[in-house]
Amino acid sequence: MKRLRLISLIAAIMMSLGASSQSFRTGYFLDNYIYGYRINPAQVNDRSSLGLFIGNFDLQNASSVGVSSFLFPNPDGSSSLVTGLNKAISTDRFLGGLKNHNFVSLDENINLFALGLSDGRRMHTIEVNTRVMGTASIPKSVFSLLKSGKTGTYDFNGLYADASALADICYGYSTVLGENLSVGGRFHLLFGLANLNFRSRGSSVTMDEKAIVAGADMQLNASGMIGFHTNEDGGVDMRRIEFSPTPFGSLGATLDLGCEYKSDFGLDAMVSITDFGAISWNNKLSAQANASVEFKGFFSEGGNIKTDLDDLLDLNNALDYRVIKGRRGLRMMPCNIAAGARYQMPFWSGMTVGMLNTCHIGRASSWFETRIGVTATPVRIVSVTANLGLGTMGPTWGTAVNLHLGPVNIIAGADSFLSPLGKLKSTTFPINSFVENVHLGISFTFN
Amino acid sequence: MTTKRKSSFSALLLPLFLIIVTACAVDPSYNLDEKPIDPSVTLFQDGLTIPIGSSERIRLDTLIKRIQPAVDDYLVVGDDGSYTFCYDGSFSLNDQLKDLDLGQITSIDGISFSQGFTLHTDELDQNARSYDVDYTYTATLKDFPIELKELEEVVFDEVYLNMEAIFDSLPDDPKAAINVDLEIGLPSFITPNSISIKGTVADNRFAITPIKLEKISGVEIPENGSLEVEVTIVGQISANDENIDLSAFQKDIVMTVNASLQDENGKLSIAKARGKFSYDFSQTTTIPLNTLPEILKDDSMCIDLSNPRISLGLTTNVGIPLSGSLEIVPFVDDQPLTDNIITLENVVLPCSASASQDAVKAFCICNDKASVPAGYEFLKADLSKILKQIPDSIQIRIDANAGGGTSAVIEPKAQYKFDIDYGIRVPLAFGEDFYITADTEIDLSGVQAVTSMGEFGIKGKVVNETPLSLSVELNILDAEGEIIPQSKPNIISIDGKATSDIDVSIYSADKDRAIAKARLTISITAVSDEPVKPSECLQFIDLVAVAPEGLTIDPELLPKI
Repeated sequence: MKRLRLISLIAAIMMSLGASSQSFRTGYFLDNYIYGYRINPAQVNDRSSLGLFIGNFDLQNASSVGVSSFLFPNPDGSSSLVTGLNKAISTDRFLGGLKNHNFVSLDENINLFALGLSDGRRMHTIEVNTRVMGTASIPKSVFSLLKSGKTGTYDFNGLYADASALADICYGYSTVLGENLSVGGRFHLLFGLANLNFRSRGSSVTMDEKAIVAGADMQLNASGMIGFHTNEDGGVDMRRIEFSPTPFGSLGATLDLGCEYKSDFGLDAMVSITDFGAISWNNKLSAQANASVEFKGFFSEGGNIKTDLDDLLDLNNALDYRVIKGRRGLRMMPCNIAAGARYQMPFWSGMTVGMLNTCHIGRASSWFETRIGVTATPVRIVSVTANLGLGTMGPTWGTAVNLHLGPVNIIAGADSFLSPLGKLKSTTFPINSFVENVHLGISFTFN
Repeated sequence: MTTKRKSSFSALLLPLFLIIVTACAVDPSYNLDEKPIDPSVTLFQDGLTIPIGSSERIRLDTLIKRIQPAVDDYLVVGDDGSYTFCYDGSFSLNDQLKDLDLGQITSIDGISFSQGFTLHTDELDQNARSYDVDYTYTATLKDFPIELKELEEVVFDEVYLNMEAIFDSLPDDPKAAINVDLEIGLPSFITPNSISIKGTVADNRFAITPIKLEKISGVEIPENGSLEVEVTIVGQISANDENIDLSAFQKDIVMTVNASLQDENGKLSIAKARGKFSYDFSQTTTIPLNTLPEILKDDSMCIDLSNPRISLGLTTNVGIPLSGSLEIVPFVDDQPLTDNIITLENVVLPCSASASQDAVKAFCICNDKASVPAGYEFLKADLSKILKQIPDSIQIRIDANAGGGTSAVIEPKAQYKFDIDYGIRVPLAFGEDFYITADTEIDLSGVQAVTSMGEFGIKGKVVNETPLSLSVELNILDAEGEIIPQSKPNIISIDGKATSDIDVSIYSADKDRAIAKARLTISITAVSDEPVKPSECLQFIDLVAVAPEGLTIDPELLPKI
């Protein structure tokens, strides 16, 4: 047995792939899904488990728009594609395919270490992860302005981009209370490695026949291993920004909470919230730009034609730009709220049906999804599930296979299948909006 | 676990991964290896609107000063606040008067005669020791200027009566001094008309001190132009010594009388003459209008003016009352515009009482007596037809005559002048035929990249307080100067005394031809008989530039990165 555990550990080190999925939602429908505590921290596994270093990836990416939102088959019947800004594509067709906030988000979680110690009624989990996260959001109004351009107000407040790299050390504890109820939680201690954040607030363009009024209040913050020098006026000398290994100055914490009730008649229900918290980024640099432009035409106050158009177009008058030493900024982490239920069929204990509702709350990248799935465990060592989902990104379907081969758990699945796809040379890409999570992994269980 | 099992696991995982990932089908519509992407984009497809703004209230006087400052120099604001076009000048007929030589019409040849008288011996009065002389000399004054009808009064200029008697065959007796006692009788119209001559003959000769004639008055000139006058010589030639031996007078004495009435030039020079003359005077003077702004004379302009007027101020010291006709003939390219000739009849010119005084008279030539200023004599004429097409010059022809029924004063040595000041006054109220057209071209070759992006236009309103209506036609031209058809309206119409909408665009209906120029054809007409005031304004309100179908960007024109 000890040898088997050692082998399991080694195998996990050498071959684990995508073992830990923070929100591999299809995994919720699987029986005995080792990393179910990442969806519901109240889960108590039957056995202890271990996952190590290379191969543990949780690649969750979402996009509220796809390539088909911007490229269209040419209406003239030719074999070319046209952009949404092409005159052949009507305004309604182009803008109708966009959301109010169009985002692309990446959440790549690389698990370095995952240990679960369970006696069947209590479980302790320890994980060390690195996360690379990125979100870019463009409000629909940007495209409305470019495509339509008719008079009105275009609000750009949703213009947002964020890229973060952080280390995540978490400890979790779950326990069974009584016979049916289990509760649990996980505490994540976050160490910010680097962050670049851009946001626009109060930005808008109002166009009518009398004036064009544009205003912007934008801020770009950067934190991480960078050093800089300041000028006499307190501004940052942009020519002297350099790499500077400094201790972590950015800290944060998130909390996972959950509870689950397993009834005696085969119905399991759970509710959870995960990644609820914030991180305080120690911004080294802050670039702030404020702009205010009001263009009322080519006539001056006296009704005479302005002769100095340079003055009119002088951005120095319209834009206040400065780069200064940054300050700490507290930023909420994207979190998930999940509620689900599973029901074991009375006519066959190896079949369960379930429903999972997931709400992902992120700045400029929120989405919602409902899935219903069915799982079959014909034999103890195999569990297969398939589910259908509908949500913000449209319809989707997922499937997974979980093999329990003694101490080895092998899982393969995906929350969504990116179809249809486009292709450019050897690269394929999703055409429509999507939320995808491909999950592959091996873990080792032991008592 | 053995290596073989590890490999088995890997072999199991890999196909599963491939199945999952590659299970997604490739949509051939989005196979970019086979489907090129058309990069052209059209921004602001539902229409881009850029405010241009509202102009100030553009006063008409400001506009004229900016556009045609030369015209502004000729505009005056009247008491009613409306514009009056003013063009003043003057000319004189002084040189022509010199050519007339007025002295000629009062130039009369002097009178001179030489007559011999014989004092017969047998006519000697022994007792009185004298000869009686009674002689009448008839002279004919002729070659009067035909213009001279009556001489009422002539003041001579240094005209003297000269007379001498030369005796022949007087006795040698020194005591035979001969006295002359004669009375010269001149025609009654001469003053003095009786001259007494007394004296003693010396050296067979007796001469009188020249007697200056004063004047002639009251002479009617016969129609045949000659006048017979009689000069009588009555008196005695006597010996003054009682002791003269009358026997010495054995021969007839011949007395030759040489007399003359003339000046040193042999003329009866006149310092001043008042008489009645019948005289025709005709002069043609050309007034060039080349100092007027060229725009006023262009064929594209028809100045149909409601009540133009010309004022003439005549100043002269000529004493001949003249009246006649005044003819105004416009000339274009040295050709008279015969349809536009204006003739004024019965124009009485000023007449001075003396060459040292000026007589002034002012005329106002117009169609409406009510617009004649005080102190001007009204001459009715419609001048608008002259000014509809501003001529290169105006020829003024004066045909005047003195009928011979009114007294005139002529001082031949005086410097006569005849100055004419003219003023063209045109209240700017236009008739229904008024129009101005002008073409201007704007080079758009430098902005082809912009004009090729789509349709551009300008919209807004214009408030026009003036009575002038404007129509601006916008045509786009290709590189060869040919008009490119447009698919949208391209005419701006601005009505006088109204608020008009502006909606004009540049949009080529032929995409194969690049826009090189824009031609603006501006036509201006007027609200009939409305005066134009400098305070009237134009104002453009809420102008916006529009691109109704957005901006199509040709990716070929974008900078290559």
